[in-house]
Amino acid sequence: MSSTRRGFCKQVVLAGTAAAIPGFAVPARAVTALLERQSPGAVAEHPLTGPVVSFHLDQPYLDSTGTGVPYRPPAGLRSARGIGAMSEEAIRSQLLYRL
Amino acid sequence: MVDFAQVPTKMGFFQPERFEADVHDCEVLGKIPPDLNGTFYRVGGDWLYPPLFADDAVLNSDGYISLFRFRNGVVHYKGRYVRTKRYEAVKAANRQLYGYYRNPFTDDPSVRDPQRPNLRTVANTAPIVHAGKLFALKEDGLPHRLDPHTLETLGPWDFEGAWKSQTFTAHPKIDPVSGEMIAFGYEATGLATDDLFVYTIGKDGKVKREVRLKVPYVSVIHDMALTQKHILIPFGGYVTSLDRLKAGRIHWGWDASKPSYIGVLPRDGDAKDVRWFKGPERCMMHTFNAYTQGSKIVLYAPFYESNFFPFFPPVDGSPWNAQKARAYVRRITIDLRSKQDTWTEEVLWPFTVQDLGRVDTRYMSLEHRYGFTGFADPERPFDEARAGNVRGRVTNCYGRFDFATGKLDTYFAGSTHSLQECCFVPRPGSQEEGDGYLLGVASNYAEMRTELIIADAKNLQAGDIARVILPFRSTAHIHGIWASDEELA
Repeated sequence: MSSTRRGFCKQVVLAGTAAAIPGFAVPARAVTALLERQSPGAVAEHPLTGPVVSFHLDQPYLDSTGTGVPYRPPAGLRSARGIGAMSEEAIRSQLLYRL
Repeated sequence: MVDFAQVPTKMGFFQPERFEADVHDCEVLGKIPPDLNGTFYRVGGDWLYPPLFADDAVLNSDGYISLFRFRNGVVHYKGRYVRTKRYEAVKAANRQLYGYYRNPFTDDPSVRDPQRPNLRTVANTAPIVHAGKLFALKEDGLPHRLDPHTLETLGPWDFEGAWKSQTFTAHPKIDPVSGEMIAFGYEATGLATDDLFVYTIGKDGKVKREVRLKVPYVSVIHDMALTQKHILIPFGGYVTSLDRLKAGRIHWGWDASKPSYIGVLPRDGDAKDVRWFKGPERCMMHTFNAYTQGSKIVLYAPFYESNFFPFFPPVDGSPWNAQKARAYVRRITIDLRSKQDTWTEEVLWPFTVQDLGRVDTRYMSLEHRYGFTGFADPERPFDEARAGNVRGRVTNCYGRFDFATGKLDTYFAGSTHSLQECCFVPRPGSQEEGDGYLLGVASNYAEMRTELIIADAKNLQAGDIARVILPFRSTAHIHGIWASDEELA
């Protein structure tokens, strides 16, 4: 799935709130829903402990499992993956010599 | 607030850069050749603010210039926006003000000025160094002069009032024999005008000569070629008009019924001496080089079969044709003794290439043997897991094309890389054509960073001599040049 910077910032606020307020707990179903959107299937594999914000290479990363699951960039946010399915016309229209 | 549309072509590696950078003493893999001293300048476009129209041309993005400075085995990097009038206006407004590519009628009323369209140039196409001065160029305006060391923008340059055209090509040619710069401006007297002004600028940077021509029809004249005796002006296919612009459309459309042309002007001739040779449908953007041999002119150029730019749509409403938007290395021969007004053309290699052709500039306008450009080799490995599923679509190789023998020597950039235009750098002390280094910038999609590759131009298949690593992802540029320390003195 793809994500947006704005969406990511909302996630960071959520995680930051959880980390900063003693005794505050994010409802488990909210974290589960977030995790399912970001890393489908990961909930079953990893127990929920608490969200962690980290930086991977040049981008911030919300590890909502708190288990150090390897970073799996959403399509299009890293590499050239986002344009892989585009037509030649669409790529050249927007990128031209930049590919 | 800036909000780039969440479209794939402005995300990931292709997200606009929007910052300026200095990197002192870049990380290097391998060893920089000790005799490689000088500066590699490149110019491209980077959106400071999103375009007003989603279907606008990427050619309309804000000019950005960068340099890699080589000194005794150490490389420094610097990147700056070109401070055009347009850049300053947009920055002050905190929003985009300018409309479609080269259509001032679509601009915000606060900056709209159709009588002076050259004031909206973004200077985003190519650098050139001549007479000790550095310029950033785009064909819709005057050159922008920059400090060659700090990249500070000094402003538009009209050659002390002697340059009368409103516009200046992105691809002037420098004669290595005389030191003269030959340049031109089309749409020279305003939007959609058929005036073409051709200039000779002396080694001292002063305008020596002006010839004013009329073109067969108004079209993109992006590049030129130079011989010791002639100036070649190729164009074809693209059309525009004031009506089209007033209707709020992007500057160019493609008319497949229009012939291609190559104008041949003797370097010492006047307007009456120009001869327009006519050919089939072609998209003629860049050239390698040309020379005059007796009564014949030989031109090497990576021209396209047809329209390369989807954002300049066919005027008959037909869809853009990807199958015809392919460039091949061509040899074009013009016989000046013939009474025919056409040329002969040969396709020298059967595969498509990146049309950003380069040569050893010491042989510009002279008989030469080699050309350099990039191409996509689908047989090379590509790491889709790390770089994305763009296998076969990236420019992963540079080639040295031997026009005399048909041989091809190939450099491969790596399994997660795509290459931008290359640049030949002569080896100091050598006069042999093609003896030197090939420089080029690669996008490393897996590591999200930009890398400068340095290879032996006589032995490309040996791979890297060295690779300069930038610790970030730089927006891809279009054209670059090498300037020795002597040229900047």
